[in-house]
Amino acid sequence: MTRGWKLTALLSLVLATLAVLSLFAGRVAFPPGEIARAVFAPGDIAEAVDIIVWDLRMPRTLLAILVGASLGLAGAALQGLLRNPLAEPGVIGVSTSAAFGAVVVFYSGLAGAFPIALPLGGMTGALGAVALLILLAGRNPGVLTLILAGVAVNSLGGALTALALNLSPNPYAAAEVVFWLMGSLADRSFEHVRLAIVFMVPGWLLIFSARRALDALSLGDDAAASLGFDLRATRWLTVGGVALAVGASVSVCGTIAFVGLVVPHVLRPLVGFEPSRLLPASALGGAILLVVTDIAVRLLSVGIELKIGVLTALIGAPFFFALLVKLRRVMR
Amino acid sequence: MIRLKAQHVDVKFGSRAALKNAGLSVQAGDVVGLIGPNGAGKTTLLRVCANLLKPRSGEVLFEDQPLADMNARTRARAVAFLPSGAPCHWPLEVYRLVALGRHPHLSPWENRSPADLAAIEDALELADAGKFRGRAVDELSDGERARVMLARALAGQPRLLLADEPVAGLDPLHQLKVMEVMAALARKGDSVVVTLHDLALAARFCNRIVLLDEGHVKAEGTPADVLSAERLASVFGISAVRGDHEGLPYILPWSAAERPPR
Repeated sequence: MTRGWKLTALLSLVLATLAVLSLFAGRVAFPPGEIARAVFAPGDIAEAVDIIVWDLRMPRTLLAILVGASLGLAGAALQGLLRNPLAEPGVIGVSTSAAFGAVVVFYSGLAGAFPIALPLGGMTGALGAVALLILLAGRNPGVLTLILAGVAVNSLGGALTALALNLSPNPYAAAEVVFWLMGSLADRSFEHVRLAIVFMVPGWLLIFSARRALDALSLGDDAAASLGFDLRATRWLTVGGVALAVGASVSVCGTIAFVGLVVPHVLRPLVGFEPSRLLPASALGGAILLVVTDIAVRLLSVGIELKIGVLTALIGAPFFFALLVKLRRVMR
Repeated sequence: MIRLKAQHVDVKFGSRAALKNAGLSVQAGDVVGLIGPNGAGKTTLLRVCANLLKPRSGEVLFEDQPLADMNARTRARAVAFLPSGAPCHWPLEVYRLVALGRHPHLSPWENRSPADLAAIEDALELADAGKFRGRAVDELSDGERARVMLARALAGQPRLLLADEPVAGLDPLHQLKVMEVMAALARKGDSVVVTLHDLALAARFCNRIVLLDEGHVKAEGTPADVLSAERLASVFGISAVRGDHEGLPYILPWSAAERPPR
């Protein structure tokens, strides 16, 4: 117990520090006093500082925390549910489907008409993916069926997105979508933060409500069921929670790869491999990773904006290679 | 008191009938040995008794109440299932793994009480697994791991323990120790159903034996009744050396029977 609290406290402290630091990171440098005054006494400061801190940097930092936490949590939950260290939100097809939902909104022109359309399109895509999963895998699927159905949903989402790009009326529209799909936290407002929270918090709660069942699943399906857990409920609570959290993330920020894979994997040994204790740790770890990456994006973007999804993938892919090499040795 | 009664149980996997009109009856204080050749349906019957598998027909009563109608948590407190092969997907610390056995006694957001901690200690001691408490489960040998899993099942203080091949892979001392744990549970008035391939252990530790063959219950009764030379020949295709030691029958599989099984 104590060990768990120490790690949570440490990760929270790191996250808080980084969040504060991220308010200083950007193209325009301000002295710390100015930023502090902008945060605590908005009104009484030069308008430029006020706007940059409150309208640009603050929502961006908050979104980095929310999206990072959602991705980390979703990855940890899916790895626990599927009992596979290589699982991540992508394997059940939710990310791709949410992206497709958003792309449809782009094309229909609704995105320009009212800002809430994009997140709604993304959420519709994510929940549609879950509906399709249930249809494909049945109501009480085994782990393998769930993964296979996820692969199928994933490829369908990818194919439909490609089709949309293929049929795009002009190269400019296609480029806009491609850039959006790369994932970015730039130019987001508190409106995006609010929209994300509305879907993410219920998703987090669904995932946390399955936490003890995820522990029991370490012992296999039969042992977990004999301990009184409803495995069907556990599967759909987790998948539904992941769909809400990841769907909301993709809806406001595009697809951000590898956070859900890398973070739980790094933290797992620190929590004694227990799925339930990995959940809060991974949420905090995901938030930390995304805030750090976003700071890096702000510092490295000179002229052209470096997309955060590109950077996480660049860090994540080599990590994935290392993970595979290590697993090759450990597993059979 | 009849702790568990399963009757007229039919199970089919695809077109293959795994259990045909099978059943068993377990009294308080029984150690029931479930024996039979590979593929006879032992694990299937055990899973039906644990409510892990819904039979096509037949009923399972736990203390006169339909097992399937019980509240999941109440059922989990009363009946523990110990799967074969001691699966564990993550290298959990032994103590925490054993503590998972307390879940049926905890409501979703409740932490472990002193009574829970005491039950975990008792289980670790009973299964002789206390000395591994701080180790990761993947560092243990198969036998050590089996004892840890037994401790996990015991931690819930079930009235009925359903154990699927709990002695597979154990050294002779720990085979005896595991079986003695089962006997100790029975002396307390709890009940055990255990699938075994070792006929000697079955004859020595079980007060009742259920012999399964191709999904049928071939015989049910005391070890002396069930493990007759004819049945060993017809069901297992073996002949055995038998005798008595300290007033208990022993049985030692010796050679393939003259007449091969059908």
